[in-house]
Amino acid sequence: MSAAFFALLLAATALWIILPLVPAIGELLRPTDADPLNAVGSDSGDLTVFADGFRDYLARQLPLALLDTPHAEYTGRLSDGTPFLQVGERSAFLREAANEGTIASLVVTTTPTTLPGGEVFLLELLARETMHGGADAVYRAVLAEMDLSLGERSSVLRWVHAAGNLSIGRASVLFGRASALGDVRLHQGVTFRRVRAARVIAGAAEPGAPRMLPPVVQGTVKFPAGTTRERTYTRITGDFTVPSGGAVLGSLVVTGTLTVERGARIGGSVKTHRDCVLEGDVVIDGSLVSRRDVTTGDGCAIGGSLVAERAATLGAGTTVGTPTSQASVAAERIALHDGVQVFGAVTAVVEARTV
Amino acid sequence: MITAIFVALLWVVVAILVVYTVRHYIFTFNRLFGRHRQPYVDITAAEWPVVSVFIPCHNEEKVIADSLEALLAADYPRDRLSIIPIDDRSSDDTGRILRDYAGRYPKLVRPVFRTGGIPGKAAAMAEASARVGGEVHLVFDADYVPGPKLIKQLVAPFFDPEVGAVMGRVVPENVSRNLLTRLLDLERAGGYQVDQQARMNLGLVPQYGGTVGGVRREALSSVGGWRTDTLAEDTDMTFRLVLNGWQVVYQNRSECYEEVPENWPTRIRQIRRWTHGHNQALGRYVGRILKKPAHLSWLQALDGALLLGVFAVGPILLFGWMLALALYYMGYQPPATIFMVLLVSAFSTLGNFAAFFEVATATRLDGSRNRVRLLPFLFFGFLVSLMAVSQESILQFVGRGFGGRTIKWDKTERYRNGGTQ
Repeated sequence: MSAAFFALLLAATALWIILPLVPAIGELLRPTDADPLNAVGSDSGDLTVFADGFRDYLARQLPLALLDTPHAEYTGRLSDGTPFLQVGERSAFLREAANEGTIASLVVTTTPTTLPGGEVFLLELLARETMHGGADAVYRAVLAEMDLSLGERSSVLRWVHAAGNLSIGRASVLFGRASALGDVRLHQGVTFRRVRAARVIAGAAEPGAPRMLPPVVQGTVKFPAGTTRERTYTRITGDFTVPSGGAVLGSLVVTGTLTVERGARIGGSVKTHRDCVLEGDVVIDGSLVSRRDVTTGDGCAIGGSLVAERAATLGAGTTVGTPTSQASVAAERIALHDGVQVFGAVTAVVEARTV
Repeated sequence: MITAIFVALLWVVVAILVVYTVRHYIFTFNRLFGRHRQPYVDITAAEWPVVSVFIPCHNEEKVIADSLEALLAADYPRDRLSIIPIDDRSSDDTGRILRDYAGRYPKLVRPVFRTGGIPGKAAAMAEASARVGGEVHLVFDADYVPGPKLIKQLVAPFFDPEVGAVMGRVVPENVSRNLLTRLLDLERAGGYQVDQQARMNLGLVPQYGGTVGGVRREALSSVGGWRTDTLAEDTDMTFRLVLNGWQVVYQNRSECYEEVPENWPTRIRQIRRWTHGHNQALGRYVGRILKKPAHLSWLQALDGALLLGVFAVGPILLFGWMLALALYYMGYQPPATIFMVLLVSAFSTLGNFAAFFEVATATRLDGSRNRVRLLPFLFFGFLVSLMAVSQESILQFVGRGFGGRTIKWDKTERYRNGGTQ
């Protein structure tokens, strides 16, 4: 082998080895992706974060002159150039400003307003007074400073927040977040993913007040052999059924499927490694966590949060949380039957719906 | 005879490395294609329990104020929150800063000042947690800057009655400083985004990492509180909880910034401390976990044992290389397949540090763009880790023994505001 060939072979080998390092050396010498991972949010994680941001944005952008004429109609641009429309006492102004039902401006309503329906709002809507939306409307985002009701088959693409109560009409779709400081009422057939309110109600009927029961002081249920008593909970290996009317003292962990028969009560929290089935009128004082599905019958009451890693189906009249103790319902898929009330938040990873 | 023994040992080494290789691959494929479990992160409304946030401090004047400010801005009911910095014999301005905050926020910031007793984080935690209430005890290092929602996120899993400890994700803040910080950023991504989350997905044993996490007070009490005779009180706590019927959960979306070491001597000291503490836990708990308590599945017991052994993989790998060399010079020609497996395993398993595949997957899952280009350099970082881990392990196994190292504050240098202490 000649020296030249050897040198060539050596150079080729060196190049072969160095080649993968070229992008690495480039990135090291001239960093293009060396910022800390943008993972630590500065927000509180609350559902109202977008609504709060929009409120701040408007406070910066709204023309000061409008504060002196809140009931006047007005068309113009915000200071950042966004087209802007103020609907005062003459709500027909909105219809006149629309182009075949499509409204390309950011809209502010300053008086109680009822919309005819069918509008498509391409930008956000701020309702400073009570607002009733019509059917088949499409909203990008809505911030209501009073009560707000959206008509049947409405769609909200990003978020909706009401400082009062919020009502969502039948068969509507909420693609983003919905929140209210008062109640959120979701009529039948509404699909959504994240809702937060003092109380979330499914259906048109007014649910009853949550039952207030004294604490469980004595258990009446006999546990199977192999049950172990840990520091704060009882562990049962395999499937287990709490008989009708029975009472369990403290928290329960079941490694199989748990069935709680009608009228039974668990005086603590529950964790199941498989499904959890509550028949009617069951009361769980604490939280309910399942690695699979949770199904509740009619009239159940869960004092704490409900977490199902797959599906959660809440039967008619089921209550989660209390007026003085907020709670969350979280699952991949959630179905809320008529009269369900949740004092807090309902979050579905895939989809939630009222049935 | 000696050759036969060496060959048998080589096979054992290869078998161990193959097990760790398979483990890495399972975790990574799980993160790429498996179901993502994060069941508690959507608990946003609840009757939040009383929480005590502990911050062990030793000469933290550069960073402690940022940490306290971040915690004071937390979205958590003020009447249910106590922030408890534990000043353990600081000789800098840490004590004055803590007194200042305690004066301004007397109901929220309640520092504990240690002037005696065993030094170190574990002892500080043991002493302070025994004095203070709170249903949930969260722990942050002094350089950590949590976001407003982090406390609620870390507390949420405790609504599950089976959960004894929770661990969040640590994200390096000083990434851009030099090659080391960039490599550590990659390693952390692999370790949390893939390794920890895969364990969570598969229902195995995520590790409580001692910071950006917490423990249920009842669980802590049921296992006898924090041990003061260990350098890795977090690993020790993980296994005592798991062996006593509690679950440890990991929340990938509960992120918190930290400072990573910016020079190699600091990094090597950190690795050696972790190695020593982890190997202490290996000696204490591997037998018990392999006996498989009734509440654990076989997979959980196996994963627990492998987790305990991660810092032993480095010396085992070196041992395998030495065996192969020795056999070669003894005239023995091992089948080529052994070398192939050893080679593949060497690239895929290096203890607690995520392997290359894991790291690349983690950067993809994180949505990072170009930082994955540094992947080839990770090999050098792994070599340094391998040598540091092996040196400490050999000293520990052969020299000092499991408990021989003096317990003291092995403090990681802080860099915020520039320079080092």
